[in-house]
Amino acid sequence: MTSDHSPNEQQQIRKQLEQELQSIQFKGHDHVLHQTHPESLRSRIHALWNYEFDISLRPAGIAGALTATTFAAFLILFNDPSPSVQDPASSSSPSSQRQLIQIGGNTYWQDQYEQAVKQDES
Amino acid sequence: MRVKFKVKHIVLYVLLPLLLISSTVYILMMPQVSAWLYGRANQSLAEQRTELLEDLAKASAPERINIIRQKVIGSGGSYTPFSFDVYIGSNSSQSGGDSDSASPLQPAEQIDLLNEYIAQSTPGYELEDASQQLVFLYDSLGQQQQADQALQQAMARFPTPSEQRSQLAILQAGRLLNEGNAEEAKEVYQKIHPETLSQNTDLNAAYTLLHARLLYTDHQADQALAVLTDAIKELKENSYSSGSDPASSMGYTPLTRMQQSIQTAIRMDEYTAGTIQGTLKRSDGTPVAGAGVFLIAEGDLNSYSSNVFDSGPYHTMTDAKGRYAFHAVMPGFYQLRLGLSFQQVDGWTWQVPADPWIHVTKGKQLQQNTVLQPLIQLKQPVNDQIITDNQIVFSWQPVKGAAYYNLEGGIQYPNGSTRSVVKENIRTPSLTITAEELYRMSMGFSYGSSGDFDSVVPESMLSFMNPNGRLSWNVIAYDSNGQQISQSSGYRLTRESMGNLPFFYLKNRTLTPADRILLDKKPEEALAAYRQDVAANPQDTHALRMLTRLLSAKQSIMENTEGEAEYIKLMQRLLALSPSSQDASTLADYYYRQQDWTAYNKYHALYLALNDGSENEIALSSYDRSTYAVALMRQNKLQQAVQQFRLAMQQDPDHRFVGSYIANRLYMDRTLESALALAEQYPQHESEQGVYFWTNLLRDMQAERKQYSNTAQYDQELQQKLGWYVQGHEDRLKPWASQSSKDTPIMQKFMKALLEVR
Repeated sequence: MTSDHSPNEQQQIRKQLEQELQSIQFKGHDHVLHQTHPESLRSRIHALWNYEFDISLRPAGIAGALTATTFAAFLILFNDPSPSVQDPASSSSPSSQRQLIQIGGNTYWQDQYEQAVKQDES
Repeated sequence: MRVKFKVKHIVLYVLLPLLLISSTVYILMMPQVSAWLYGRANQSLAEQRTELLEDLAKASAPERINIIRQKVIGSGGSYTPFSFDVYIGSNSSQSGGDSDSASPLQPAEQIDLLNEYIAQSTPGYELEDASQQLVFLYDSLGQQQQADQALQQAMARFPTPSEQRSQLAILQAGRLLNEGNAEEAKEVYQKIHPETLSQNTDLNAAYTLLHARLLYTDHQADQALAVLTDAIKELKENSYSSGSDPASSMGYTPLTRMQQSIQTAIRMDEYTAGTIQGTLKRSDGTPVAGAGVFLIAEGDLNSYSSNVFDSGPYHTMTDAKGRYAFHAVMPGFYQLRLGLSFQQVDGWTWQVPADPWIHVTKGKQLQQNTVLQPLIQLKQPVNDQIITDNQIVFSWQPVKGAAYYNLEGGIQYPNGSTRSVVKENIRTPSLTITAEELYRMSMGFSYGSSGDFDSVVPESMLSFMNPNGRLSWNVIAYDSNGQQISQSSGYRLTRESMGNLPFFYLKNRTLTPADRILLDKKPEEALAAYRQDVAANPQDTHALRMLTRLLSAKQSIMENTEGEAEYIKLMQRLLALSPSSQDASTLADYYYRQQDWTAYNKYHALYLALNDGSENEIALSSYDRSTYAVALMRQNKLQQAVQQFRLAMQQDPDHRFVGSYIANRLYMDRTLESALALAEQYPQHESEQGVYFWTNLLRDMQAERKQYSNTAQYDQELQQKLGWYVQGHEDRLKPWASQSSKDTPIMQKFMKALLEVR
């Protein structure tokens, strides 16, 4: 059978077909590929292992700085400078790690002195 | 900017290391682990003690010996016997710092364990360490007899000959010699086998020192000197052959010092050792037992080492009644130094005598009783009190027997503090002064580095005028002879002894814009601002005062005298507006250096008037009095100068200006004999040339005069050159004194030495 469509006609049909198919899109590449070439666990891990992040430095820097500040603030706020083993009742007996401080011409145990200054402030 | 990275990079380089670090830290933080690692550093001493005693109770006999070795004797020679928490002497007060080395055990417990160890362990270095510690512990409890016995028993545990036995024998002989048992000391000494000491220079030196002292005590000074000279020679040869500096090898310094003191003794015809004994008690009569007492020879005073060996051979401990004694002491000048524990010194102070020198001579027995005094308690203003009034009332607890007090003020700034005398000669235990009086006080200024004016510490410039500055104060009590009795500054280590904190704020004024510029660390701009203030209002004393302070500081920091003329002019204006004795003294000192006697006399008189004292009272410091005497001498007021020199010698135990006094006397009397008498009466201490410098120089000059062909001519020459010195013609004297090829080298040396007096 010989074609009785003229080239002009062919073009028109194609145009029509394209118009009809315009709303239909094939999105199953991955699925098809996965079915035709099943992926091994190893290769999946390999993919994850080599997964690449792409990060803009500026927001990352800001986020990092914020974290560091929060961490530092946390350390300062919750770090009690007075020796934790100090028993207030027995503070006159020297513990093994007390430091002397020389101030105003006198020599004190640092923890005791700081306590006294705190008391005067309140 | 963007970065790309893969998951594997994060895992390998970030997460994995983090995990490793955190798990390590966690394990280390676990109490058992950290206790095991750091030897229970975080435990309190009481906990350590309980644990140690429990361990010992559970252990078998051989295990006990092991535990004692590790926990009581200590490992690796970290323990030095004869070390104290605090050392107090006339030019040193230092503390051992923290209490790291404190043992958790009571002394009695330590003694029992050490005795057990000595009786049961095998002889070795630990046994010898244990013996030394045991002796020290008994001594520190004031139980000298038990110490002697323990030493005897410990020595018996070692074979003869052995190095350890010799070392303990040296210790024993030294103790016997200090106690005055020279004969027994000699017996112990003779049983020592010196060949066992060959490798140990430190021990060898101790052995030689002991030998020399024994010889000297036995009136064989020349042999003693020979023994020392040989030992020093050998030590030098050994260190040269090993390529090291002999001065840095152990034992060199004490040997050379002993050599010098015996040489000096021989030169001064001294052939008998002396004795010093005394007691150490608290002012209420309680004896202080087990305190260290050091007798430090003049040349050793500036070495601050607390190493027992460096402090010379004279050290002992007080017995149960607080008594101590040093026998077999070489002639010479000494000072006492105390070694105290924190418990002993807490709340107490020792005031070094006004004349701290102990002169051991002609085998005399000297008595030196020492008394600890309680610290003075401050009443007000204290505990960071804020003062806004124009008047400040200082008050403190009165001291029994005090004739007068001196009050010192201090300022604290970020990296330090300074103190300065605010008022002297206060007759009552209180003082009311105006804020203005405090503002007038300038303190020693602080700065970062010379040549950098910007590094000046602004707080030190403003001193008491900084309303934000934390100020401190303290008092010192004196008796009617000018001897210090007690003070408020010292060790305050318990709640009871802490008392009030000596701090207050003076918020009586507000900062001027120029002050703010200064506090902003812009001294150059502040200088300009103060200058503007003064130009705008010539009566602005604050700006004028700050201007003078900044100019003075700038000259010192920049090490030049640029602007000195302006500074002096401003000082004169300031003094007229707001008279202060401190500023008058500064000007007097300036004109003293200028040799402008009219101006000097004026400001010196003003200083005395402002300091409300007559010139023969305690109003002048020994240095000010000495320069006043020199000023009188330069003005040819020789008789008045002698009077002031004599007072200055009494005030200054070091006799710093005795050279000028001698010159003044010699110029008046024209006899070397009276000058020599002065030199002998007032030996100059702490000078580089040694304490007998002037005596020896004048003796040499007597000899030079005798040998000189024409004595009258010699006397004439001496009188002329002395005249140049007395009248201040240093420009003529200097070249003559440094001429070579003169036939009067000693006279030249004398003149050169005079030019160095200052």
